[in-house]
Amino acid sequence: MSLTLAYNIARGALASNATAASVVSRNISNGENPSAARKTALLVTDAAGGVYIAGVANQVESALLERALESTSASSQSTELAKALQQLSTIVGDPELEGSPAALIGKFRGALQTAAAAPHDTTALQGVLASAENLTASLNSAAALTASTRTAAQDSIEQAVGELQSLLDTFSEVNSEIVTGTALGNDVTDQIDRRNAVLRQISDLVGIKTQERSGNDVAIFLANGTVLFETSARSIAFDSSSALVPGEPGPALRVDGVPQTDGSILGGRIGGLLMVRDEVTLQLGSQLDEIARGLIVASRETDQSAAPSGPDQAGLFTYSGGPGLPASNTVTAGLASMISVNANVRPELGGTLERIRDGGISDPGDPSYTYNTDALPGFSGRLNELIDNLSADQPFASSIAISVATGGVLALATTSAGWLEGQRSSGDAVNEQNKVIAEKATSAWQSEVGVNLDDELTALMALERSFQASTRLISSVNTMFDALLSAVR
Amino acid sequence: MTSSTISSLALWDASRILMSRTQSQLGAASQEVTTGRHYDVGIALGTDTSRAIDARLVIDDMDSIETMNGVASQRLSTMQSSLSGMLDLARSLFTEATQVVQSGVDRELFIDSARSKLATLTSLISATNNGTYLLSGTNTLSAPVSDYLADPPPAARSAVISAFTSEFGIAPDDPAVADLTADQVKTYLNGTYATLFETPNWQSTFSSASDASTELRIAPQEYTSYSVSANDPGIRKLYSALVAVVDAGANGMNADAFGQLASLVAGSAGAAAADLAQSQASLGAVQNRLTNANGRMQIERGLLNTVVGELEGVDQAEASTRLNSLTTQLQVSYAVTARMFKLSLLEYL
Repeated sequence: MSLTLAYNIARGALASNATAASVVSRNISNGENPSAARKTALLVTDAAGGVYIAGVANQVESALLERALESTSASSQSTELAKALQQLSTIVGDPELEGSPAALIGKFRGALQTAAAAPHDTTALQGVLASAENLTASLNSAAALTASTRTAAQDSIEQAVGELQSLLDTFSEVNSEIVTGTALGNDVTDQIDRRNAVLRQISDLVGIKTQERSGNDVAIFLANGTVLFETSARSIAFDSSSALVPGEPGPALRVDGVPQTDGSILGGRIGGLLMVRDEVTLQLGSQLDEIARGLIVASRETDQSAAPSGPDQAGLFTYSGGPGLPASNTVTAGLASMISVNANVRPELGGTLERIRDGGISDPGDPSYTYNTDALPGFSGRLNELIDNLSADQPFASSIAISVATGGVLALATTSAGWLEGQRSSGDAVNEQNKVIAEKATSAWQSEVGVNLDDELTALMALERSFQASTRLISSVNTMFDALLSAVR
Repeated sequence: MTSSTISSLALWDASRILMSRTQSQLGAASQEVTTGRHYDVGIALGTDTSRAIDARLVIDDMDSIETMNGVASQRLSTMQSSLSGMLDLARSLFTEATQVVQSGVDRELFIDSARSKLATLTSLISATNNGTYLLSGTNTLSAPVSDYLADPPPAARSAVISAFTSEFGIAPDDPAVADLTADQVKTYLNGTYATLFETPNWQSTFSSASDASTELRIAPQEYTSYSVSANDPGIRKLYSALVAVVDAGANGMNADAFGQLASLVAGSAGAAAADLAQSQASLGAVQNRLTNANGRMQIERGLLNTVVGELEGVDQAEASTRLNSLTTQLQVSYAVTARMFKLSLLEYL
């Protein structure tokens, strides 16, 4: 053991002290960075007994990170779904406000009831017309809201796909820096932090699984196993140019050539938006279409002549394809946006109010569709029939996620409102749960890998002490050298 | 060395998340306490929302039916009082006619009384409510009968007079009426004259009321109908009896023929009274059903209101307890957060 060696060791200690201090200051400055992991300087004793910094290591908790990524995408997915359902639920509103299509059908029935008690009264017939117009307007706006929610989802998917693409580009860049840096033995901890940050952002967009491979390389897979990134980013194709067709799923998202149609499996915001676009709004839209068809069928006019030969025709409620009735037992896509009150009863369009009472709305030129043949002002038969028809059993398409055996269009409308609120309620519960899980998982990961400022401050104090000791050692060795040299002189 | 530490960021985040969650729950709870209903009914009820909507629909339906039942029962009672008026007329006509037969009361007086009764009957038949004629069947906007005694005489009166003229070859006010025998008068009144008041002559000559029955929806699933109108047999018989006194030459008849006419009129009036009572009974049955339906709906509505309250309402005691505990929780977490932020080594270096 020589004095020079002690000198060297002290010098090495100073150098490693400086590096350790820089690691501590990096940690402190990263204190507010949610994606940063705590870094530790790796001290190694060399053959001569001195220390040097072999490298800087990141605190790693792969399992917790994986869990955080997974729960983040589940939470983002359910958030998108809950947001869309919240928006759509304005169609139903609070039952107390009675603004749902079902409540408006009820109001229409009330107006019919008033008119049936005083069929001669044009004010009462005016009331029927007004409530019928309210009802069609509410169906039209419900259909418009559903369609616009759907279009908004489509636009958001397009935007999210763009984000995903640029995130993958960043990921690819950072990942290759890490792989090269690791091969060269550089400190790549900051890049790993960045890569984790990008991974968390990607998991917000779409559900992912990561796989760590040799050389610090990471591959990303979608939940269904499709490769998203492996050495290089895979192609993501989304054709947003074609317009959405009512009643049909929108254009598919293709990753690496594989179509991703099931939003619930895909996860993340994109998955949630796909569910909004291809499930929720489609189902709700078809229910609204069936309600519209139910109303047209309930208000249909039948041939009243002694030997009926004419087909049933659309009466008070009609649509752009009238006076023929829409195809029975199937969803006519877009019917809810086409339903309207027949012009033949609207005085401002040259119609006659009394046709509501007398019939003959579908074809005023054809007397065989008139119910009140003698034009008696006290005729209430047709009005009562309309009241009954609103809750008379009707067959509805089976593809609309709800089924109504009895109770007709009124029951369909109430069931549809219940379905929507049920979706929202369960979606909201799932979302709350997912949010809590995601917060917990993320905070569990952060707790494990994140920086504790007190800890770092303590480390800094320890470093200060060891720096003082090292300098004292150097000065002592120096004094020894001085003593030795003066003895030699 | 790896030490087990907790990230400062995660530590602080935890209290931030807790606070924001508590605050949003606090907002919901305070609204529930003030309104007594769920903060978000749709979320709270889920698919049960359809039950709430359905119950409200039925309540609304019953509300409007009850309002309209009120209107209908007003109409029905006005009709009842009209019919009672007619019944009184029929009874007094019966009494007078029998007195004429038995004791030969002043003929002029009898005829004048019949004229005034005819005017009363016309006004009773033309009873209105809310701008509609009650006894017009469904032809509610036209008066069921025109004023028989108006000047110039309406088509109905001309038809009666021409029937008399074509039967006997003389007008009712011709002095030759005195030559008519009791048998001739009987044949005329039971034959040609009676036919005038039968379907379809009555409808084409006298009445513009329609025979169609009026249908009433008196409960969500319950209909009833009534078809009491000016075409009812009782009204027709009374009308024909009165017209026979006025326009069958009663004034100039010999005593024998007049006695025959009076006894026929008495018979008609008696039959009319029986028929009118029948009509009153059938209207009464409808009124009864209406009252029953209203009673039932009231009970049902009460139950449904309870259902709506149970579905949409919150237990206010529970909500206010929740509000209190949330407030306490929030205060605690404020205090804890403030302390935690002070807990930094920096404060002690």
